[in-house]
Parts: sequence; structure tokens; C-alpha cells
Amino acid sequence: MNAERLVSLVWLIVGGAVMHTSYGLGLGTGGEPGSGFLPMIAGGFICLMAVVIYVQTYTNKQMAQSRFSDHWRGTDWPRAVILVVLTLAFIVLIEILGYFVTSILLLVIIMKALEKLSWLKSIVIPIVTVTLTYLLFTSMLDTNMPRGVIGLW
Amino acid sequence: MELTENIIHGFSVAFQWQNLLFCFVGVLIGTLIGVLPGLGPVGAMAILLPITYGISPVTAIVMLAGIYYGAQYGGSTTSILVGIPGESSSVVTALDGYQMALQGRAGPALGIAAFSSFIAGTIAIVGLMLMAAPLVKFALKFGPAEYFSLMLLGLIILTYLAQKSMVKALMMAAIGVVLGLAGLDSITGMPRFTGDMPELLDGIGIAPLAMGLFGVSEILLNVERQIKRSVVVKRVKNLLPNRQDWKDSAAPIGRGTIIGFLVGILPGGGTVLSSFLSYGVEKRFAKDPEKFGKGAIAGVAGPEASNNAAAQAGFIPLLSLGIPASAVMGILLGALLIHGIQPGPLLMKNEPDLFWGVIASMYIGNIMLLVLNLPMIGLWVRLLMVPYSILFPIILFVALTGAFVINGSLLDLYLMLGFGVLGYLMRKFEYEPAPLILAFVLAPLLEISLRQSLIISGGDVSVFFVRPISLTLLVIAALLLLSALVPSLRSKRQQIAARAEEET
Repeated sequence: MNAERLVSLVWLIVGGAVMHTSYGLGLGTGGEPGSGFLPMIAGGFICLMAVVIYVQTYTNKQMAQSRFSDHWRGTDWPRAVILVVLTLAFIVLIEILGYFVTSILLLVIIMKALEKLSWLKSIVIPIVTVTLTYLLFTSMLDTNMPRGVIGLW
Repeated sequence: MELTENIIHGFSVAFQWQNLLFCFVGVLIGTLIGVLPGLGPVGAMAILLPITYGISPVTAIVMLAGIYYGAQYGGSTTSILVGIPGESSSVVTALDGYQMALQGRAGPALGIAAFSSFIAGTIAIVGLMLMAAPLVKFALKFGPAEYFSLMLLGLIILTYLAQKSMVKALMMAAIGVVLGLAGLDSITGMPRFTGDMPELLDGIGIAPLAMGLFGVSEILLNVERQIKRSVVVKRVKNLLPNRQDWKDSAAPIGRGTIIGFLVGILPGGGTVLSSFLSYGVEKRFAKDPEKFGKGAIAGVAGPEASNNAAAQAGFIPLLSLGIPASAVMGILLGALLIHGIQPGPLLMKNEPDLFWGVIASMYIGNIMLLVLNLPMIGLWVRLLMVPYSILFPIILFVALTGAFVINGSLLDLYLMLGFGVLGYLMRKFEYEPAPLILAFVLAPLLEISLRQSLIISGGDVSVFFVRPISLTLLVIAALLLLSALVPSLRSKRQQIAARAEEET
């Protein structure tokens, strides 16, 4: 399947969902537009543009040849995927292990496993960075960072 | 003189120690992210937005503005020394600046870049002061219908200047409107697009959205690309351009300033387009155009003047009309709203500290930047040698911390990551994030003005067409949309937009 075409269909679904939700919110009347009024227009516009792009995948030469592999050619894309997974793990673990431990872990793993830096760099840089960032943000704002179930900070 | 009084007042605000300090922090960070490729001013401003929650609004805007115009200075350093633009607005600087560096003239290239940025920036601030007041008077006549049409035109100009497909840019604007409307409806009190999550009742935060779309997605694209940088010059000497250099640069700086100022006021025009226009103009004006691309100093001076003038002029629509003209200004608008300040024509009258203080701080910031970028150039050269494998984990981590501290909510972290992945995919398929973020911040204002207009007119849509200013704005918008459909004009639009890639 043509990649651009598939993407345009995804947008069509998004636009349709927005229109459906907007209808449920109530369009109101011309003199008193409801909560769904502008979202309905925006949703309709998304659908319209999605259809235009769909048509373009037949008429535009470059878009007609779009394939998924082309968009990722010559890139080391697994690195991007690993980074997303690590970040996701960070968010999940932050409440369990606490902000400080999770942050250090995230940075050490990225620097050592993904970037293959030396052990010295992969340990010293995260500790300095996390400490400084923690001090900077907590001094500017009164936010308590999650301490985790163990109660470390 | 009222203006003189206001300027003096502005400087008295700008010289308060915390404003001086944060102005310095802003231009320092601006230079830093300008020098480092892979993170633009929008991403950096979004990541630092949370820090500004704890300081006064004037100080916050002074700092964020400093990041923006500071990045215009820093970007040229990387363009000249590495040949890779540090910022998209200094893409053209790489053409002749890097050649100059290869010929052993890195010093004068950096020098003229900093001086022309300084001259143009300063002149543009004067223009900003002179233009703001009359524009405010004009804007005070605006009703909701005029505002609605103006915002619509702004969004359409932005998509018109999109570098890739205008259809995709328009779609992104529509997505931005929907995202911007999520949360409680201010008039009916009905929750919209919240997925029954109570945290979303206040709407999606601009910080996680902008950090995701501009910060995280850039990191994801960069880690799979493996940026390689080699600094051609390790030590820079003779920063001061000689007499001949100045002679060759004077006119380009003048023209660049004017081009930058005019383009900068337009929505979406901004720093990138103005620098390309300036380069094209200089090439045409030059006695020996074949020198361009081989180390012509005019090819550095013109665009560098132009992008700085544009950066300063971009503040005009935001400060006088309350309407942001670019993604960067969108972030600033978001910052104002977070601090409870209503942007618009009344800003100058109601918040003179903010209005004149921020403008005065730009003079001071430009002087700071001149010092930061000339005597301290060695520091930035060394910084350029810090590998990306150390930088990006730090940037990612600061973004994660920043997104969390705003509300102390994990949802913001998931949102940021989600928008990061979305932004990554969008860039893969050439959907630009700038129209999305601008539409996102404009959406609530757009909706209010639309509703007010319709309520006042009793549901008569003609309210947008019978008022002359509103009609004019809509006609321009319609013409732009139509011209994008006409094939010959469409290719011209794409030529302007695609020049960025051809020339590099």
C-alpha cells in the first residue's frame, strides 16, 4: 500500500472521529454556536484535506511512489525506537523508584548501552546533570518530585 | 514626548537585576542552542517554559525572547565553522561563511555575522517601537469579526509559506485547532475531547505539546541519523573585519535589515525566508555574482542582518495585536496566557512594564550577544566539540523534568512522548508542526471571536463580509488559497519554499 495514501486514510478517520464527537457536543444555532460548532468545522476540514491528499497520491508523481521503506532508508531507526521505549519505561518507573534513581538509570542506560560511552562518562555526567536539574527546577518552582515507594529522593 | 518617557520607563524595568540576569540567561541559552545543531529555538523555549512559571511575567518574556534572538546569533557560528547550519535561519550563512572559514577567514566571517546581526537587530527594535503604537491605535478599532478574519489570514499565510505541501500544512492547522479546543468549553462549560480524563479538563498544556513536537521529535530524528560534525577551525583570530570587508557589507546589511523587518512582520515569514530573500537579492545586486558561494562576505552580512531584523520584527504582531506570527511567537503567547496576561492591543496600556520592558531588554540583550559572540567565541568553538551522544540524553532528561514539574502530572509526560512520536512521524511524511502549534494557541481566541461575532449579528454570517477590514483580510486569505490551486502560481510558491533545499 502506498504510504502517503495510508496516512491520508488515517487522517480521514481522525477527521471523522472529530466530527462525530463534535456532533455529540451540540452544534448550537447560528446565533448561538454550541461547543461542537468550531470543532465540527475543523473536523470537516481535516476530512476534506485528507481526501485531497488521497487524490494527490494518484496525481502527484512523487507521492504516488511513496513507500514506507523510503521514508526510513539509510537511517538507524531502531535507535529511535529504543529511545522511545526507554523514555516510556522512565515514565512508568518514576512513581516506583522515585525521580532521582529513575533519572540516573535512564541517562546511564542511554549513554552506556545506546551511545557506548565510557563507564566514567556514563556515570559522572548523569549524576551531575540530574543533581543540577533537580536543584534548578525545585528552586524555581515548589514541586515535589516523586520519591517512589522506597522513599528515596 | 510620550515615546521617550516610555523608553526610559522600559529601560528602568529592563535594568532591574532579575531582568538583567534572565536576559543574560536567555541570550546565553539562545546562543547555546543556536550553536548546537539539532534543537531549535521553539523546542528550547518550550523546554524552558516551565522554569518561567516561578518568575514574574516580564522576566519570563525577557528570557524567552532572549532565547529566540540569541539563537539567531549562535546559529551563524556553527554555519561558518562547521558548514552545517546551527539553525534553519542560518542555512544560507553556511554557503559563503563556511567557504570563508576554509580560506582562513573564519574570524572576519564570524565578526561580520555578529556585527550585522547587532546592527540589524538594533534598527529593527527601533522600528518595532515606532510601529507598535500606531498599530495598536488601528487595532483598537477591531471587533471580534476583524480578529477572527485576521487570525484566519495569519494561519493561511503560515500554511502558504509552508516548505512542503500546503494541503498538509492546512490539515495540521485544523488538527491544531481541535487540540487547542480540548478541555472545558469556556462558554458552555462542557468538557470536550478529554476522553473522560479529569487532568485534561484544563486542556492540553502548550509545554508538553511543543516539547514533544519540536524537542523530542527532533531528538528521535537525530539519533537515527548520527550527526557528524567536524570543526574546521580550532582557533579563531582577527575577528574584526577590515575596511574592505565593511565596504562590501554596508549595503547588504542595510538591505538585509529592511527585507528582514518587512518579512518578519508577516505571519509565517520569519527568519528563514528573510535570510533566503536577502541572499537572493545580494546575489542580484553584486558586481560579481559568481563570487557567491565561494566566500563572498556580502553573502554572510546580508542574510545575518536579515534574520535578526526578522526575529525582532516578529514581535510586532504579538505585542500590538496579540496575534502570534510564528511558532516561536505562539510559545510566547502561551507564556503570556499562563501568567494570566491577556495579549492584544490593550497590552501596551495595561502592561507598560511588560511591553516597554521587554523591548528595552532587547537592546541590552543585543549588546550582551555581541560580547558573548565575539570575545567569547572560543568557548562556543569548544562547545561545538561536545558530541551529540552526551547532549541529547541531557536535553531529553531536562524536557522530561520540565514537563513533569508544571502540574506534577504523569499524564503530561505521556502526552509529551506521544506528541514526540507524532512529530517524528509527521516529519517523516512532511507534515510541518509549525501550523499545528500556532493553530493550537490561536484556537481558543479564534473560537471566542467567532462566537461573539455570530452572537452579535444574530447568526448572520455576512458580519464577516460587510465590515471593510474584515472583508479585506478574508479576500486576501481567499486569494492565497486560490493561488495555491492555480498550477503556475503553485509551482512559484513551491520554488520560494524549496529554495532552502536547492541552495544548500
